[in-house]
Amino acid sequence: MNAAIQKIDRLGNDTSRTAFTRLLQWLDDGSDSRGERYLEMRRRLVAYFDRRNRPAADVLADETFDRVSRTLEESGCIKVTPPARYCYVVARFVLLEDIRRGDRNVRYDETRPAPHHGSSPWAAAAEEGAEGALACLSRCLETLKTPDRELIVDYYRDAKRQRIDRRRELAARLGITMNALGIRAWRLRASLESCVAACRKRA
Amino acid sequence: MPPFREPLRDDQLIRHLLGALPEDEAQRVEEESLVDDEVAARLQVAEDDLVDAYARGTLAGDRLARFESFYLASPLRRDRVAFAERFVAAIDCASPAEQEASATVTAGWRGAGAWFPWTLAAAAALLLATGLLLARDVGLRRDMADARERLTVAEHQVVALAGQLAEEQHAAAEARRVLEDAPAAQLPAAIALLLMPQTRGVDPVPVVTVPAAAAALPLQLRVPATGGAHYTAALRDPSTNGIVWRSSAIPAERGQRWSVVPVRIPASLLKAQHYTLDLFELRAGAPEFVGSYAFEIARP
Repeated sequence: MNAAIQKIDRLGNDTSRTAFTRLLQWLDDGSDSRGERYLEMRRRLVAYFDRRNRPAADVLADETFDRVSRTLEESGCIKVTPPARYCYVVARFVLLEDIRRGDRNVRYDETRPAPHHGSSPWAAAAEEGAEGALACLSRCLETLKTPDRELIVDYYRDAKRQRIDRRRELAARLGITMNALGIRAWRLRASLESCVAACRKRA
Repeated sequence: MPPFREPLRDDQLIRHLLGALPEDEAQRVEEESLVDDEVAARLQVAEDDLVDAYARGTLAGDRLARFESFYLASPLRRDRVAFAERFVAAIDCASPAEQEASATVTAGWRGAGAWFPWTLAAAAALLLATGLLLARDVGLRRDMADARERLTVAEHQVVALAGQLAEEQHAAAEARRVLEDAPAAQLPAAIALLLMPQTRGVDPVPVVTVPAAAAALPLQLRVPATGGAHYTAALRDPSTNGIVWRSSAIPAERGQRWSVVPVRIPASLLKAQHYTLDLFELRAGAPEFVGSYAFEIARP
């Protein structure tokens, strides 16, 4: 919820606090996720625009929410359900408009590095902060509860066949499906990823 | 009732992540990954596995090629790869140590079992009971320590989040201040826009956003390498067809197939509109028309 509240500052100019609260309620669709649904939908929208290779994926995700908010304010309600489907429809328009703009606009700073596994320039640049990042990672791993730490190590270790077998055993041991196990592991990993990002920001 | 659709397969999700799905299938994956929680989670799991495979160096062939040409094209996704490289290293480091420790314990018990004398069964039972009580005690202490640790971590997280919020607000204020104070810095002199001569085609005219306080707009005009050594450029306003600026003689920077003529137009002359830049080659001092380069200026 903290992160969701922080978004209000960004929305300050375009969307009022009331409109943002209305957006959160509409996304929750009757439940109270305490802003989690908003954060999850924003993450999905950013990934959507990013997979379409839009350079400012987060700006486009926010633009999508701004438009949904305006519609909510103007019409009072949106009948399309679930709310995520409506977000998708709006996001598609935002994407197409951005592509049209992008065809004409020239970017000054095209810094995409040449990919080369292992010793790529960006990997080398990233190595500068690698030590700090590793320290953050182990600090974040320590904050996990022991069963969660064991689960994440078990889930992500090994490659290929061994990994599939291990996951099957793990799911059986926990009495959950492989899908549920995947989601649980991914949530832990995502929390680690944001913990590392926050830790590096502080460092 | 919506038409029945086959559930998305894992290989479709992976191909989508690699930008290798046909457009109609890609749209379906995008829609479902936004709308359906389960597909969203499956896509995320598939992405993590793909990125881990790259980080471990187990991707090969077409997938590796697509990963490098498509997936790594985005800074956000490169960040995920950077995280995965550290993450799998940490996981792989943690695993063998655990395996080794558990193997040692198992072998120790097996060895002891082979020599366990029946006459010591009663003593062993007593020891076992004591051991269980001790273990329970240790477990309770550990739980208490865990709870304390979690409480401390939670308190730290609250402090950290408050600090983070203050930092972000401070950073935003700082960024606004820097932007107000030094807008000229937005247009570094080293970066120049490469323009091609206009052809009869209907290629879109490039739009260049020039910050209000920029001193000059650097452009690089491409000409054939077979051209001359010196050029001059004239900026034309298409609405009046008049020349609004003219450069002095500029030496061309020669390349293998193309040469580039660097031009710096004073930004104060540029309004938000279309312009054409006429390029002339200087031969024995006389200018000879080479081509026109069109662009549009936008002001923030």
